[in-house]
Amino acid sequence: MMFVFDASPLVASCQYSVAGQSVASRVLAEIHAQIPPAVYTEVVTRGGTRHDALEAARLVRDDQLHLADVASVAEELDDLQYYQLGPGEKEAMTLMTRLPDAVLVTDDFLALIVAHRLGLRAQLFLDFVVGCAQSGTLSLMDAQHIVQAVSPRYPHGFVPHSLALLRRLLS
Amino acid sequence: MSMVSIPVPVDLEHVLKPVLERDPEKGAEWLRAGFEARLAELYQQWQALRISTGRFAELLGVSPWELDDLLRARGLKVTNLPG
Repeated sequence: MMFVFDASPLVASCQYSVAGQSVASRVLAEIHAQIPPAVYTEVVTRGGTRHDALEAARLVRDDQLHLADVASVAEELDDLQYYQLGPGEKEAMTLMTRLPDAVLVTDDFLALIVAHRLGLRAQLFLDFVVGCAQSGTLSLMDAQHIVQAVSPRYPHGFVPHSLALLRRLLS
Repeated sequence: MSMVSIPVPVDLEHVLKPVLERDPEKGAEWLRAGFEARLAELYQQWQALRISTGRFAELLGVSPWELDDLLRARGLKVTNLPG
Protein backbone atom coordinates (compact mmCIF):
# COMPACT_ATOMS: atom_id res chain seq x y z
CA MET A 1 0.00 0.00 0.00
CA MET A 2 1.15 3.53 -0.73
CA PHE A 3 0.82 6.49 1.63
CA VAL A 4 0.86 10.24 1.01
CA PHE A 5 1.95 12.42 3.91
CA ASP A 6 1.20 16.09 4.41
CA ALA A 7 3.37 18.13 6.80
CA SER A 8 1.43 17.32 9.98
CA PRO A 9 2.45 13.65 10.43
CA LEU A 10 6.05 14.55 9.63
CA VAL A 11 6.04 17.23 12.33
CA ALA A 12 4.66 14.63 14.73
CA SER A 13 7.04 11.86 13.76
CA CYS A 14 10.34 13.69 13.24
CA GLN A 15 10.21 15.38 16.65
CA TYR A 16 9.99 12.23 18.72
CA SER A 17 12.28 9.23 19.03
CA VAL A 18 11.99 5.62 20.10
CA ALA A 19 15.17 3.78 21.10
CA GLY A 20 17.40 6.47 19.63
CA GLN A 21 15.70 6.53 16.25
CA SER A 22 13.13 9.07 15.05
CA VAL A 23 9.54 7.82 14.95
CA ALA A 24 9.43 8.81 11.27
CA SER A 25 12.43 6.67 10.47
CA ARG A 26 10.90 3.67 12.23
CA VAL A 27 7.48 3.90 10.59
CA LEU A 28 8.81 4.63 7.11
CA ALA A 29 11.32 1.77 7.05
CA GLU A 30 8.96 -0.81 5.58
CA ILE A 31 6.36 1.20 3.71
CA HIS A 32 6.20 3.40 0.62
CA ALA A 33 5.32 7.00 1.47
CA GLN A 34 5.33 10.03 -0.81
CA ILE A 35 5.24 13.74 -0.22
CA PRO A 36 4.37 16.36 -2.85
CA PRO A 37 6.82 19.22 -3.57
CA ALA A 38 4.90 21.74 -1.45
CA VAL A 39 5.23 19.53 1.64
CA TYR A 40 8.96 19.27 0.94
CA THR A 41 9.12 23.08 0.81
CA GLU A 42 7.17 23.47 4.06
CA VAL A 43 9.03 20.83 6.01
CA VAL A 44 12.56 20.65 4.59
CA THR A 45 13.27 23.94 2.80
CA ARG A 46 11.54 26.17 5.36
CA GLY A 47 12.69 23.98 8.22
CA GLY A 48 16.30 25.01 7.65
CA THR A 49 18.86 23.49 9.98
CA ARG A 50 16.70 22.55 12.94
CA HIS A 51 17.22 18.92 13.91
CA ASP A 52 13.69 17.70 13.13
CA ALA A 53 13.71 19.32 9.69
CA LEU A 54 17.14 17.82 9.01
CA GLU A 55 15.73 14.43 9.94
CA ALA A 56 12.93 14.92 7.37
CA ALA A 57 15.57 15.92 4.79
CA ARG A 58 17.58 12.81 5.60
CA LEU A 59 14.54 10.56 5.10
CA VAL A 60 14.08 12.01 1.60
CA ARG A 61 17.79 11.74 0.81
CA ASP A 62 17.86 8.11 1.97
CA ASP A 63 14.77 7.22 -0.08
CA GLN A 64 12.71 6.39 2.98
CA LEU A 65 10.33 9.18 2.00
CA HIS A 66 9.75 9.73 -1.69
CA LEU A 67 9.35 13.13 -3.28
CA ALA A 68 6.57 13.11 -5.87
CA ASP A 69 7.12 14.56 -9.30
CA VAL A 70 6.01 18.17 -9.84
CA ALA A 71 3.93 17.03 -12.84
CA SER A 72 1.78 14.85 -10.58
CA VAL A 73 0.43 17.92 -8.79
CA ALA A 74 0.47 20.34 -11.70
CA GLU A 75 -3.27 20.87 -11.86
CA GLU A 76 -4.79 21.56 -8.47
CA LEU A 77 -8.19 20.02 -7.80
CA ASP A 78 -10.99 22.52 -8.44
CA ASP A 79 -12.88 21.48 -5.33
CA LEU A 80 -10.05 22.63 -3.07
CA GLN A 81 -10.82 26.30 -3.82
CA TYR A 82 -13.70 26.13 -1.32
CA TYR A 83 -11.43 25.47 1.63
CA GLN A 84 -8.66 27.33 3.41
CA LEU A 85 -5.98 24.66 3.13
CA GLY A 86 -2.22 25.18 2.97
CA PRO A 87 -0.17 24.48 -0.17
CA GLY A 88 1.13 21.15 1.16
CA GLU A 89 -2.33 19.85 2.04
CA LYS A 90 -3.70 20.89 -1.36
CA GLU A 91 -0.89 19.20 -3.24
CA ALA A 92 -1.15 16.08 -1.07
CA MET A 93 -4.85 15.75 -1.99
CA THR A 94 -4.15 16.47 -5.64
CA LEU A 95 -1.45 13.80 -5.62
CA MET A 96 -3.89 11.37 -3.99
CA THR A 97 -6.17 11.55 -7.03
CA ARG A 98 -3.27 10.25 -9.18
CA LEU A 99 -2.64 7.33 -6.81
CA PRO A 100 -5.90 5.39 -6.61
CA ASP A 101 -4.75 2.92 -3.92
CA ALA A 102 -2.98 5.44 -1.71
CA VAL A 103 -3.98 6.59 1.77
CA LEU A 104 -3.50 10.18 2.92
CA VAL A 105 -1.94 10.52 6.36
CA THR A 106 -2.80 13.81 8.03
CA ASP A 107 -3.31 15.07 11.56
CA ASP A 108 -5.25 18.09 10.37
CA PHE A 109 -8.95 17.76 11.11
CA LEU A 110 -10.08 20.06 8.29
CA ALA A 111 -7.90 18.20 5.76
CA LEU A 112 -9.34 14.92 7.01
CA ILE A 113 -12.90 16.16 6.45
CA VAL A 114 -12.11 17.59 3.01
CA ALA A 115 -10.38 14.35 1.97
CA HIS A 116 -13.43 12.41 3.09
CA ARG A 117 -15.71 14.71 1.07
CA LEU A 118 -13.51 14.18 -2.00
CA GLY A 119 -13.80 10.41 -1.60
CA LEU A 120 -10.11 10.04 -0.72
CA ARG A 121 -8.90 7.51 1.83
CA ALA A 122 -7.39 9.39 4.76
CA GLN A 123 -6.32 8.59 8.28
CA LEU A 124 -4.66 10.15 11.32
CA PHE A 125 -1.03 9.36 12.04
CA LEU A 126 -2.10 7.26 15.06
CA ASP A 127 -4.33 5.12 12.83
CA PHE A 128 -1.50 4.79 10.35
CA VAL A 129 0.68 3.38 13.16
CA VAL A 130 -2.09 0.97 14.23
CA GLY A 131 -2.45 -0.07 10.57
CA CYS A 132 1.29 -0.74 10.32
CA ALA A 133 1.05 -3.03 13.35
CA GLN A 134 -1.96 -4.73 11.81
CA SER A 135 -0.15 -5.39 8.54
CA GLY A 136 3.02 -6.49 10.31
CA THR A 137 5.24 -3.70 8.96
CA LEU A 138 5.72 -2.64 12.60
CA SER A 139 5.94 -4.93 15.60
CA LEU A 140 3.20 -4.49 18.17
CA MET A 141 5.74 -3.36 20.76
CA ASP A 142 7.23 -0.81 18.38
CA ALA A 143 3.78 0.52 17.56
CA GLN A 144 2.96 0.87 21.27
CA HIS A 145 6.20 2.73 21.92
CA ILE A 146 5.57 5.04 18.97
CA VAL A 147 2.02 5.86 20.10
CA GLN A 148 3.34 6.64 23.57
CA ALA A 149 6.19 8.74 22.18
CA VAL A 150 3.91 11.02 20.13
CA SER A 151 1.18 11.14 22.81
CA PRO A 152 1.87 14.77 23.92
CA ARG A 153 0.50 15.97 20.57
CA TYR A 154 -2.95 14.44 20.80
CA PRO A 155 -6.08 15.45 22.71
CA HIS A 156 -7.55 13.31 25.46
CA GLY A 157 -8.89 9.98 24.25
CA PHE A 158 -6.91 9.48 21.05
CA VAL A 159 -3.85 7.83 22.60
CA PRO A 160 -5.64 5.45 25.04
CA HIS A 161 -7.94 4.43 22.19
CA SER A 162 -4.97 3.72 19.90
CA LEU A 163 -3.31 1.64 22.62
CA ALA A 164 -6.57 -0.29 23.09
CA LEU A 165 -6.73 -0.95 19.33
CA LEU A 166 -3.16 -2.26 19.46
CA ARG A 167 -3.93 -4.50 22.46
CA ARG A 168 -6.85 -5.98 20.50
CA LEU A 169 -4.42 -7.13 17.83
CA LEU A 170 -2.96 -9.52 20.41
CA SER A 171 -6.21 -11.45 20.77
CA MET B 1 18.07 42.83 20.86
CA SER B 2 18.72 42.38 17.13
CA MET B 3 17.83 44.96 14.49
CA VAL B 4 15.53 44.15 11.59
CA SER B 5 14.35 46.32 8.75
CA ILE B 6 10.76 45.97 7.55
CA PRO B 7 8.68 48.03 5.10
CA VAL B 8 5.88 49.95 6.82
CA PRO B 9 2.73 51.32 5.13
CA VAL B 10 2.80 55.14 4.80
CA ASP B 11 -0.25 55.71 7.02
CA LEU B 12 1.30 53.65 9.79
CA GLU B 13 4.68 55.31 9.36
CA HIS B 14 3.17 58.70 10.29
CA VAL B 15 2.04 57.29 13.62
CA LEU B 16 4.98 54.97 14.26
CA LYS B 17 7.89 57.27 13.45
CA PRO B 18 7.40 59.91 16.18
CA VAL B 19 6.72 57.22 18.78
CA LEU B 20 9.91 55.34 17.84
CA GLU B 21 11.94 58.55 17.95
CA ARG B 22 10.76 59.21 21.49
CA ASP B 23 10.94 55.58 22.69
CA PRO B 24 12.67 52.94 20.47
CA GLU B 25 11.62 50.10 22.83
CA LYS B 26 8.02 50.79 21.89
CA GLY B 27 8.64 49.45 18.38
CA ALA B 28 9.48 46.00 19.70
CA GLU B 29 6.50 46.13 22.03
CA TRP B 30 4.14 47.07 19.18
CA LEU B 31 5.59 44.39 16.92
CA ARG B 32 5.15 41.75 19.61
CA ALA B 33 1.59 42.87 20.34
CA GLY B 34 0.72 42.80 16.65
CA PHE B 35 2.16 39.32 16.21
CA GLU B 36 0.41 37.95 19.29
CA ALA B 37 -2.91 39.41 18.14
CA ARG B 38 -2.50 37.83 14.70
CA LEU B 39 -1.53 34.50 16.25
CA ALA B 40 -4.57 34.57 18.53
CA GLU B 41 -6.90 35.48 15.65
CA LEU B 42 -5.58 32.68 13.42
CA TYR B 43 -5.57 30.19 16.30
CA GLN B 44 -9.29 30.76 16.80
CA GLN B 45 -9.94 30.29 13.06
CA TRP B 46 -7.86 27.10 13.13
CA GLN B 47 -9.68 25.65 16.13
CA ALA B 48 -13.00 26.44 14.42
CA LEU B 49 -11.79 24.55 11.29
CA ARG B 50 -12.05 27.65 9.12
CA ILE B 51 -8.36 27.18 8.21
CA SER B 52 -6.12 24.12 8.19
CA THR B 53 -2.78 23.69 9.93
CA GLY B 54 -0.87 24.36 6.71
CA ARG B 55 -2.89 27.51 6.01
CA PHE B 56 -2.37 28.67 9.60
CA ALA B 57 1.41 28.43 9.17
CA GLU B 58 1.24 30.06 5.74
CA LEU B 59 -0.84 33.03 6.95
CA LEU B 60 1.44 33.51 9.95
CA GLY B 61 4.50 33.29 7.68
CA VAL B 62 6.19 30.48 9.60
CA SER B 63 7.14 26.87 8.92
CA PRO B 64 5.03 24.04 10.39
CA TRP B 65 7.86 23.41 12.89
CA GLU B 66 7.89 27.04 14.01
CA LEU B 67 4.11 27.04 14.34
CA ASP B 68 4.37 24.00 16.58
CA ASP B 69 7.03 25.74 18.71
CA LEU B 70 4.95 28.93 18.97
CA LEU B 71 1.84 27.06 20.11
CA ARG B 72 3.72 24.88 22.56
CA ALA B 73 5.54 27.87 24.09
CA ARG B 74 2.16 29.47 24.81
CA GLY B 75 0.63 26.30 26.25
CA LEU B 76 -1.87 26.08 23.39
CA LYS B 77 -3.09 22.94 21.62
CA VAL B 78 -0.77 21.84 18.80
CA THR B 79 -3.61 20.19 16.90
CA ASN B 80 -7.10 21.10 15.68
CA LEU B 81 -8.41 17.63 16.51
CA PRO B 82 -11.39 17.83 18.89
CA GLY B 83 -11.00 17.15 22.60
